[in-house]
Amino acid sequence: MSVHKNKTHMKGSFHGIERVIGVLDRAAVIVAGAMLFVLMLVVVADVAMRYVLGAPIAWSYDVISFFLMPGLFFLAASDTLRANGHVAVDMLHIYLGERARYALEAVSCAVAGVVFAIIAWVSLAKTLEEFQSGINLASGLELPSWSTSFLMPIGFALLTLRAGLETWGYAGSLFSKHALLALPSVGGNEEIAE
Amino acid sequence: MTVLAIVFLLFALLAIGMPVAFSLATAGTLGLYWVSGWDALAGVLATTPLSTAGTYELIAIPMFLLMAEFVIASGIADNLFRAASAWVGRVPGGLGMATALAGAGFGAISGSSTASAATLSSTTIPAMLKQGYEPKLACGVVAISGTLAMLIPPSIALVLYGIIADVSIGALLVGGVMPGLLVTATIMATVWALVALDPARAPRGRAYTLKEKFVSLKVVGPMLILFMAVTGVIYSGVATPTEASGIGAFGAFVLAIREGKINRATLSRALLHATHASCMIVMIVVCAKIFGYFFTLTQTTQMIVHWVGGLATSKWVIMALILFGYIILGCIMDQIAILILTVPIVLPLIKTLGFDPVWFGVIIIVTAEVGLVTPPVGLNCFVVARYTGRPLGEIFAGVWPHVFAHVALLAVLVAFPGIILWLPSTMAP
Repeated sequence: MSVHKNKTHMKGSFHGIERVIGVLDRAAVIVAGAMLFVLMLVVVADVAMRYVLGAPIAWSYDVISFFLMPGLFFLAASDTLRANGHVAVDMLHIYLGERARYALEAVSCAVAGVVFAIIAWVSLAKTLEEFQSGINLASGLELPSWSTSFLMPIGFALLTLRAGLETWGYAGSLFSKHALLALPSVGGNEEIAE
Repeated sequence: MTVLAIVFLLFALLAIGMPVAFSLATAGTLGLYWVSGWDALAGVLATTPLSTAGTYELIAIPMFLLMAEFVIASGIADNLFRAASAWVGRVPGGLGMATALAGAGFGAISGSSTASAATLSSTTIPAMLKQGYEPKLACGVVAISGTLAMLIPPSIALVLYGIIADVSIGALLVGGVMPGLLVTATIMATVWALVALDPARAPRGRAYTLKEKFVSLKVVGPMLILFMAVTGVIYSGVATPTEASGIGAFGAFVLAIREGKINRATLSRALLHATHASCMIVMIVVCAKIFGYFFTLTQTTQMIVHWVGGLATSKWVIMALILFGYIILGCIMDQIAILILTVPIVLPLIKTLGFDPVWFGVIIIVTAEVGLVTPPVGLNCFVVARYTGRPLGEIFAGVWPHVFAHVALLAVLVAFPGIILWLPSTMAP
């Protein structure tokens, strides 16, 4: 009885935390998607200005390479993991049973989570250092360096949380009757564009 | 020894199904810590992701992905098949040939093979099955025709090769045109041969009037405009490939608006898909860079190049072995991942042997097309299976004749490099 209660409890808290992390990821990926759209507009406006007015947009290169591209990448990383969008080699998974697959997914998320935590930590340290020294970007933008590097600890912190959550979900599914988290489909998904 | 252990770890992580990017980051992090300690590792980890993700040339990848999403949203891809079948549908195996032509047309305005296979599946297979085509034949031709998108410009894979290899992206994209046309012709010839061997595989379709034929061409206009807005602009030197990618995405966006297909739902779907796919690719590039530092520090690449360079074998034997290796890798791994993993090691070797890097780039994309349809992990076959509900085995079975024809064409392209290199040589400087 108490075991059952414990399991229900585990499931409830998993989905609670999943919701919270889901909201964070969703917010980040919406910003990333908006940056993608702005990126397209900036590139087209730049070309148009150059040909029509003979004067390209002076800030386009810097804004794209310091903000739009890094933002698009870091802020979407975690939601892409949620959507199983990071491509993996499915070879073994095609032949394995469900339990073995859950175990391997749990191991792989746990290991990756540790690496993401390290990257989040060292990039946070770097951002704080830049914040304290007040150093500027090496560009004509006259902006502090941390205004772009802070994207990195945010992205990797979200990725660490997501990897931790998935480790819990996959490992927990092994020990409970109902799966906490569905396995990714083998053979990729349509978001993996080649 | 360290290198061997880390490479083994990388393969072990890949094998258990850890995402390719994460495997590279994990193995690279451990390797760097092992050979140069915490401080050097922290230095690499704190700076590499930001500087790599901010590489200007990379914007062509999200832009081409977005372009593909808008092209799909516009729905013009569906009409491409109808137009092609009005023209060639009457000949034996005509709908199969029309599928190849639609694949080439879609490839000319989209750089994503999986997107192409998904789009082609939903229109061409129902039409072929309705006319009594053998399902194996129908599914096979769709899976292989989808791969044309990765060869015919715009091509995400060629852009990626250009960035990793530091080779002119414009020359690569233009270099994909001739082989793209040849692959299309090869697919059509294979369909023709299959039907000639057993006419029951593909019953003939109805005839179309001349008026119907010309009305069907209405769809070709926007497609050509979009193709010229990207490949034409690059070929004539009007804009750089990165600029052309932005123009292409914007052009496809305008086209989708004109077709009345853009609303809040379709726009956010297109943006979300393109964002996820871009992030996946950039993630592999970033993590490969981390792993690459480990290879640089241990001088592994130079060792391999030096060793192979010292072999007393003909350079053609080495090339054949490399391409064979790519075909085998293509059977078990994702194509984008293969490119990012192998090009930094193979390219110096290719240059040492005296091969042209533009030619080689196009050649490995043609090789990668094979990998997209061969079992057990041929991605395009999975896509076709999911979109049509046909069994995966049937699709893999149907694609074999195309694989053989494709490998034969590959041999021709290797033997006559001029086929690939002629068009880029006529480009505006």
